[in-house]
Amino acid sequence: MELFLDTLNYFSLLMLVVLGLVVIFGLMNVINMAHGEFLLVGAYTVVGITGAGYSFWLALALAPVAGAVVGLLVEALVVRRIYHRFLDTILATWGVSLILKQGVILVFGPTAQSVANPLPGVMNVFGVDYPRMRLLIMAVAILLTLVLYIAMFRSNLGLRLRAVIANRDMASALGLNTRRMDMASFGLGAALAGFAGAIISPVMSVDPQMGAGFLIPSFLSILIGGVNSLIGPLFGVAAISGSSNLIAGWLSQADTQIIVFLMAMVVIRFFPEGILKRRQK
Amino acid sequence: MTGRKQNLTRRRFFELGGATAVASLAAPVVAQQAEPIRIGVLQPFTGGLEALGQQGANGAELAFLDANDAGGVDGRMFELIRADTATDPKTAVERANDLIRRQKVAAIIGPVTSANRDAMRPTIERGKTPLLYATDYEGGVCSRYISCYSALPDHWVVPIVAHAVKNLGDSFYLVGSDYVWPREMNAAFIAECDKTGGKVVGEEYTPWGAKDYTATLRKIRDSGAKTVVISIAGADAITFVKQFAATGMKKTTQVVFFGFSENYLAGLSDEESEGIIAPTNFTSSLTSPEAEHLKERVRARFGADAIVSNTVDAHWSLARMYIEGVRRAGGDDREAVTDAMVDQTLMSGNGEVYLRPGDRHVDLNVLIAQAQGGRLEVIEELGRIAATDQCT
Repeated sequence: MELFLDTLNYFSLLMLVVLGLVVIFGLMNVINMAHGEFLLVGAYTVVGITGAGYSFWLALALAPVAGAVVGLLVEALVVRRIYHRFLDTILATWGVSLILKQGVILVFGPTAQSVANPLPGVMNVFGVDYPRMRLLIMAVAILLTLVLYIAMFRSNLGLRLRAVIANRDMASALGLNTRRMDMASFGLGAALAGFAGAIISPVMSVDPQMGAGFLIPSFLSILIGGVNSLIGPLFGVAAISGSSNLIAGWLSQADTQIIVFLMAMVVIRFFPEGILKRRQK
Repeated sequence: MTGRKQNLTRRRFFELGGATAVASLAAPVVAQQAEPIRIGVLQPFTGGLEALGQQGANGAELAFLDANDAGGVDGRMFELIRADTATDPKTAVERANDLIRRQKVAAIIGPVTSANRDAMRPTIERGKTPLLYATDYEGGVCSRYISCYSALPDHWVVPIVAHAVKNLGDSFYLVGSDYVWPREMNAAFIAECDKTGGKVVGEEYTPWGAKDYTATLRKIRDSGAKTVVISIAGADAITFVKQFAATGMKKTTQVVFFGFSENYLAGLSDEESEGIIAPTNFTSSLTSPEAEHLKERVRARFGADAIVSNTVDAHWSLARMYIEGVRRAGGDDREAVTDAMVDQTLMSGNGEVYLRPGDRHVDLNVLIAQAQGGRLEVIEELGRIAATDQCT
């Protein structure tokens, strides 16, 4: 049971981070190297607001707003000019990530900041004493995944967003404002990242390098699961977090990472479109 | 523009060249009276360890600027040239090369981490330029040009094992980052446990940037270890302690943390850091006259908020040892200072320390400190410890 909870815990952390990336990378096809720094924006929003004496929960509500604002700025200033230059986005967003990171260092300094745990203590679930904050993160991750799924794949707005992404010219011809849809998608992705950064800030070090450790596992999750869907990355995250936790049960975490990444490479080699899609000839 | 171009005949070219050559010959003569002693401050100002880099630079610059304020050495001032390793060994080598060949520095103070230092070592030895290394490390550097103000396993591991076996229980779970320093520290830890009857029930290494330690925490709890020994570097250690504290394991398991300092306290709440035990050579809670002196000097120069840590003290003390070497050698000649600076005793921020001539390492005063209410308080003073010779 505890093993299951532990796996679900890492799954939830990673899923929260991946959600925003699903929109920006999975749907919009923008390789956003600054995604980790959008997390930073959310986490440091919490640092700033709790530091000013307000509650963590207020900060949690404002973090996605901050994420969206930064995301929209980045979109308007940088990304909108290079939507069609797939590889250039890597370089451009990497530059954005450096700017955001150094900006954080200038404002808050390079040392780690403390975000007090708003839900200290443990709670008994299924006969296991489990930290309450972890349980909250799990619940929020599952809920948010459902909400995003409904918003993107079951709502009218989601349909329009996906229409613009799938066929821009046709969507435009049908009267959709593609520019506004791009902004909405990118802003949504950044807002999700800001929220993720905020809610995970009490369980890990909040420092300028915080986002970097998430970049590889979250991109891998999407590549394994397949782009253009939400179910795919869900499987990807489950595969990465599940195998990490299982292998780490008897191996060192450092060795575990090597094995998991190797497995991911093999999967991507044989299922380049993701495990949920058939290999295309 | 075109007119000037036409005027540049061959004769004019040689005239210009000759004038430049004469000027460059004349320049050293003119400047000789007050030629500064150039010092490279090579620290990680970006790339992950910027907190340590900034403190190392503060410590070093405090020593040299104070020396300048006192009139320099024989009227010669120190000129500081900052260079950034970006916490990256390759960059550290490039910057070291630049400092030695282009900037012609007399010595370099830095870097942080064994990976950077080991990468730079051939460059330093080829350039025959003194390297002043002031970060704790795993031991074993034996080089004419590298002087180490570093806590070695003899300084930190041996006393902490004795302290832990006596006060914290005798079973340990070792968790470290996956690189040379944690692995060597843990090897020393296991060797010391074999001597004193401690028992290591688990040893594990985690990758850089790890975000989730639940699997490791589960193993630690299942192992029944009474003490978890952390040698995780940088911010990852904060993630580990936060997740450790959240599980409630602190009630049953003690934490020993290699490299813990004031830097980490800011990233943890008081409850999360409470009780962490660490070997160190300086903490800002010391109240001895020399500690107060250092704190007062740092705050006078860098502001009331400046952190005064082990890192600051180490760089400040080693820089002053170098300055004394220049004074003894009567100049900044690299070989002469290399010979002159060893075999000296100097007051650090925590008692007198001694730079040995044999392996160019410093005998340090060791403290065992504990985080209490958000401060790092001294719980045991072990006095000056002479490590074994690092050249054998």
